[in-house]
Amino acid sequence: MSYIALATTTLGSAAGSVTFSSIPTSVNGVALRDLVLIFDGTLSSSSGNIRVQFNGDTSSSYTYVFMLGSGSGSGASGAGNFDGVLGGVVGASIRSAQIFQVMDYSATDKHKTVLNRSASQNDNVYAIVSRWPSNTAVNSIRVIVSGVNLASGTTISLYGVA
Amino acid sequence: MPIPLGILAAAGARQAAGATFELLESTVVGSGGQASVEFTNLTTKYATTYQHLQVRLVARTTRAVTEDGATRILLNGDSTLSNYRAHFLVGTGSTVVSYDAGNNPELGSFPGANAGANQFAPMVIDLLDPFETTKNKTMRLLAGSAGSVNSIRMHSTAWFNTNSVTTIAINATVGSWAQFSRFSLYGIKATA
Repeated sequence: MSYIALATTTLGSAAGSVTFSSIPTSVNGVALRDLVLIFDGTLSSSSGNIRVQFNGDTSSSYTYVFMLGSGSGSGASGAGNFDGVLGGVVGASIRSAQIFQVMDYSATDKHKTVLNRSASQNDNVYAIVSRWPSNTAVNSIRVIVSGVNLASGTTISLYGVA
Repeated sequence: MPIPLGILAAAGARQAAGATFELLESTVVGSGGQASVEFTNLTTKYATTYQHLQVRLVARTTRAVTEDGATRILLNGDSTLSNYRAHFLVGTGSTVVSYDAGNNPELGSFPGANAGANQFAPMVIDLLDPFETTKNKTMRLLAGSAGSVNSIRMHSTAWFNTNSVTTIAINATVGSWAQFSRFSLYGIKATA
């Protein structure tokens, strides 16, 4: 018993964000090591990068490194700070499927790291690593694109990996 | 939209379809460090139940460098590097590099002892059909590090041997894996 569905929501109407709170560290006595967040959706308008914020931390303390392929050329890579774990681009006309692997999310002896793989319709393919510089256990996860609503029909699922 | 989950710890949650992905073994490195993390007797223990294996790890090394690339994965104790071949796609934070890594089952870059405190690198390795005896073994990995070490990487690695995999060794070849590094082995069933 290692891959446990914690929650899934499909938005019935547009929403500014989705927050999973009081994330357990175990289920039925089985300790969870990692979390897997799956995003499949669009925005109500415009476009932007997905942000995944831990424990209400909206500061730009998160660091990232990405690489992308645009469908032509040799790709691109960048690094920097962001106000959340960095995900790939999603938009009103850019359906995006993204998987975030949140490693050792409840450990208090290390910073939290996240691997992201994203595939976006009419956009790029991404691989991204992010780090949240905190030894605090992750107990809430907020999914947001700054200033834009997640569109109706967007599905976000959260799994625990024992 | 808030979704509170606290009740799950007491009430239980739904197992993902068919319980086909299962934790087999897990190791957390202790205070003395550990040069090699090994999963052994795999064929005996798991070949009849599982079709694929996955290793999920979060690690750093004790080597006195900021970035430690001297790490390897070896199968069945085979340290003859010419039996392996790897290709890498790496984002450095400024450019993307794709190259033939040659006979090198390297795992990539981890934060070393000189990296920032509490920085560990995540990695997910998929080992496909490890117990099949009619094909050479192939692995792929997704890994990265953001902080003192900047890289995001995807590797493919082949082991030119059709033997069933009995041992997976994940080695820090110069230093050791540092305390709190975690290595977990998962099995993916052939049938539910």
